[in-house]
Amino acid sequence: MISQAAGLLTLTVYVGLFGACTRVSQPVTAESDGPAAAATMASEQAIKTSGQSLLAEGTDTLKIERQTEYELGGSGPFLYPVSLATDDSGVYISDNNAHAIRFRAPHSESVTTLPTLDTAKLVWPNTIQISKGSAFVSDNEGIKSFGLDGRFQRVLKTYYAINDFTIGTNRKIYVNPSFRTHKASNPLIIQVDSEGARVKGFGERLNHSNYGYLDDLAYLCTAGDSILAVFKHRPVVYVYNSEGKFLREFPVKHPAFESLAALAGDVAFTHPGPNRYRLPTYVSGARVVGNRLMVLLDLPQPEIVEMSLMGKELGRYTGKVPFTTSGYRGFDVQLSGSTYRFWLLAVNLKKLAFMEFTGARKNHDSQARTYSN
Amino acid sequence: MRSRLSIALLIVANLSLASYVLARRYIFTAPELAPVAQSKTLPLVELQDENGRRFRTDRFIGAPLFVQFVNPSVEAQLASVQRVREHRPTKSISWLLITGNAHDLRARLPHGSDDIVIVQEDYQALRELFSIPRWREHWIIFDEGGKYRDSGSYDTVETVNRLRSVVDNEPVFSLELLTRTVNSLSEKGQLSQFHAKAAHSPSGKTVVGMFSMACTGCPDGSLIATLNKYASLDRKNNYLIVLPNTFTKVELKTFTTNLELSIPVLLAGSEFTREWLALNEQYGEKAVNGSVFIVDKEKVVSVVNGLSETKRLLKTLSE
Repeated sequence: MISQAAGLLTLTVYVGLFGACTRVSQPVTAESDGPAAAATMASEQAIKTSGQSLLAEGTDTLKIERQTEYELGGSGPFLYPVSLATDDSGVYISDNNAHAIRFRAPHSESVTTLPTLDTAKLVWPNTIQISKGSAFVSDNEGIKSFGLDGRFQRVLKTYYAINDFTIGTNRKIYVNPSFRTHKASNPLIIQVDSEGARVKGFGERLNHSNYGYLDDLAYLCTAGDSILAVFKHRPVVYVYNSEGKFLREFPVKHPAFESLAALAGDVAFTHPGPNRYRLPTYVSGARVVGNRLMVLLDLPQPEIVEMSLMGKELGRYTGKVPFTTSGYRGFDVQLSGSTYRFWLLAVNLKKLAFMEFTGARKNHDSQARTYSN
Repeated sequence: MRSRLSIALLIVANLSLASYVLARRYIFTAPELAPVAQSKTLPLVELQDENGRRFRTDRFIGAPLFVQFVNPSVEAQLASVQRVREHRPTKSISWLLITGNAHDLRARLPHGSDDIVIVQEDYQALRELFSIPRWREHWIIFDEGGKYRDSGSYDTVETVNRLRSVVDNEPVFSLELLTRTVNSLSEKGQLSQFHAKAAHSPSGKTVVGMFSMACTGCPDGSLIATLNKYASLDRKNNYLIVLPNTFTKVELKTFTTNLELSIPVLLAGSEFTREWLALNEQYGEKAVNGSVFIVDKEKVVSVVNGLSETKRLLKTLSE
């Protein structure tokens, strides 16, 4: 029973010490960390479940447009998907353990694999981004770009361990790197040029060794001249301009978050064993659409917060997935007219649900009532 | 009396037969059968091969056994099997592949793979029994007595060497081997640029770090940071980092910039690169990467491998 409960949570909770140079690191599990770790993981899930029962007034329920369930781990088309990105041609999903990019066309249930194998092998791919007709994928060798037909274009050997990256205007690439040697001068965000070389670094890291440096992991987005760092294990967003100047920070709110923050003070939770660290996960993805920041919260059922770039909450959307999730492995949003279209991959121990939702864009003159924490 | 005895014997025989049949089918799900991570031995269970034939794993006792869990839809996993097969040990061994799709796997193996036993039935239970993590397929080597000897992820480059080490007693990558290689290169004049550099240092020595890969979040990133730190503090010795000449000039520049190196970074000569990449091929890039050697004006003074050994050497050297 304990291992099953732990399993539900296994896939979203990662340790900070990277195993074998693979960006997706070894999860904390009951198998590896024992029943005490499993119990504390269950407490994170319980807090989230209980907190999600308190829906904010004005929350919109998303309409399910497409929902497909797949078995994880070999019987279906996905082994260990970790990131997704969309454009008009369809949905592109990087599968870490399959070393492949999977593709799903807009009106098709079938999942195919981009023929990247003969041109440039992907080595433990992680974040995928689509920009101007190319797919950019970070892997153990850098950032590789492919045509949307799978044709290899180039590799940017950055020599950074890339947690997440984003592509801004003029194809400027910003990465949130991980470091094994922790220095106060290590930046939170690094801009690299078209060859992968560092142009500049900016943003302060917390460098909390007692948390295995997990609280410096962030999803990156760009909006015009701004670069946003949406932290995975802190309910906060930092905003910088393209010169690297810190502009502002604002919180991401949910009733469960206060109790989750208390878990970060519990050593049994944060440090389940030697060289094993974890923190509660608040955020599972972030995207900018127009001048709106959309943040996917890490909750058992999807909940997306729509915010202005100044941090004002403008809307909140919830969707239903066919099972209680242990996390999300990809998130993207597009705006078509006055309708948002959301894609996400929800997972539990054995299954993955490919979800496509739509929701009407709110009239932003009347701000939705929000949580007060 | 005799008929009662016969009936009792028949009952006992039938019960024994029923127990045996049940045990044959479910033997490995028995809770007392410990996973390999604990037992450190080949589990003695009954399996069913791809053709429906049942066999006990004790048939593998008597020769080393290479077990690999394989997902045939992942090219990298198939390639790893093929690589081990192509460079297999000279002594005879048994091969067991366990997969979720035996048909696909057999179809994707090259001709001449008939000696490989493929098992699909009870795949998930076997993963647990062989202690295979959920997020990555592994291989395991058992010796001829069924004792666990080694295991690793399918993307472990030095699998071949580790298998040959168990089966053929071939050496794994060692300092002695690296020392021999570096000395041989030195004698052939392939390290002349390092000897020349050493001639200009106060101690007459230069520390050379060999890197064919590195990243900020990897162990080799820590090693580079350590060399960088000592280079900035140590006034007696020169420091260099050498990359294989397969790096382009742009890659060399990016390597230097992004890893914030204050140490000169050079490309190795052709023969040095060739020998280096041959070591990578045979022993795995991870084993060779980050090796450090010290040269003086004429010869190689010492060779180390690994972060703690390097730290110890640099501490002594800089005192």
